Amino acid sequence: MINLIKLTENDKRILIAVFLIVIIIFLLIGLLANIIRRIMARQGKAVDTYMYDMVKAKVITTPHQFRKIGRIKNFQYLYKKIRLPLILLTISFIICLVRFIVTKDYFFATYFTNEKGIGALFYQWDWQNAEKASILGIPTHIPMNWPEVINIPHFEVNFSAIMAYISFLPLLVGVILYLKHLLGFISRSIQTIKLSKTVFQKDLTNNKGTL
Amino acid sequence: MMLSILKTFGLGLLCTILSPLILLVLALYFVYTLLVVAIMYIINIFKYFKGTSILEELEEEKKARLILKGEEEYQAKLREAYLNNITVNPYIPQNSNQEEENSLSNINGGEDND
Repeated sequence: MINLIKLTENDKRILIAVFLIVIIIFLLIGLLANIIRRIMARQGKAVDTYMYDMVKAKVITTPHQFRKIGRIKNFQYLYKKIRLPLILLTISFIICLVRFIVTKDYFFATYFTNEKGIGALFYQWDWQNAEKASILGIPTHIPMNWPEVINIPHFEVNFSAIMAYISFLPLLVGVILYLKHLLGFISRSIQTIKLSKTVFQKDLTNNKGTL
Repeated sequence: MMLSILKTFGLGLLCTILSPLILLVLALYFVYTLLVVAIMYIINIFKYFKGTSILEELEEEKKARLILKGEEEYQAKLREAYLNNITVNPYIPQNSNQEEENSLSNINGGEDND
């Protein structure tokens, strides 16, 4: 038997590890997508709540009217809900602006550095200098071992860094809340279109002989 | 169990492939909603000085509320009459609240004129 590809024990181990990591990553992404889908379905239910009375009282009688009123109500709902994230984002933006003006450092990338930004708050590993694995003698970018820690979370005491720390929390919460309400807005738009097609539908198929 | 894991894996794979498109849609919606909310905020400032708000009930909601309230009151009266053994013609609404009735008829009249 002729072996075209001869894998060493080490190669096999690396391939299995990479394969498992890829599967786990896709599974995690799938789980996250499932959670987001459930959140969106729950947020879409708001359409039923705010449109129910108008449909029941027969004030809305056509799909076109349903979509029109649904769109206006959706914007009202968004406006009501999005005020908090917008306030948080504005606070964060003002702090950043003060930081930029006082330090005269208008290069936004410094916001993420260790010395002047939020970088010092996170663990950092030396991925670049980690020992890389090779498969069939070909060097890859897959690290062989867990790289060394080059930064343990700590606080840098200078004006630029402190302002970055203060602005980071409202920025993070604001962005997460904004994304949540954005997804809610999209799901309500989809639900409005879906309902406009079904609410006024007359079904004769399931009423055979009963009319 | 295995099927659900496979489905989750497939969803993860699909999301990864479509991630640039999903991000693009989210970014577009982000800009769109930001613009709309900014415009609504400006309109709300003008409305505030007029004594109204952008969040107040729509005309359709007011109409629906009045209609449903009238129906509820009529149903309550029917129930009460049934319990007191009084014969009520179900085809004639026995609404004692004249003001409510007037507002309802105004709405209906307004609709006819449109």
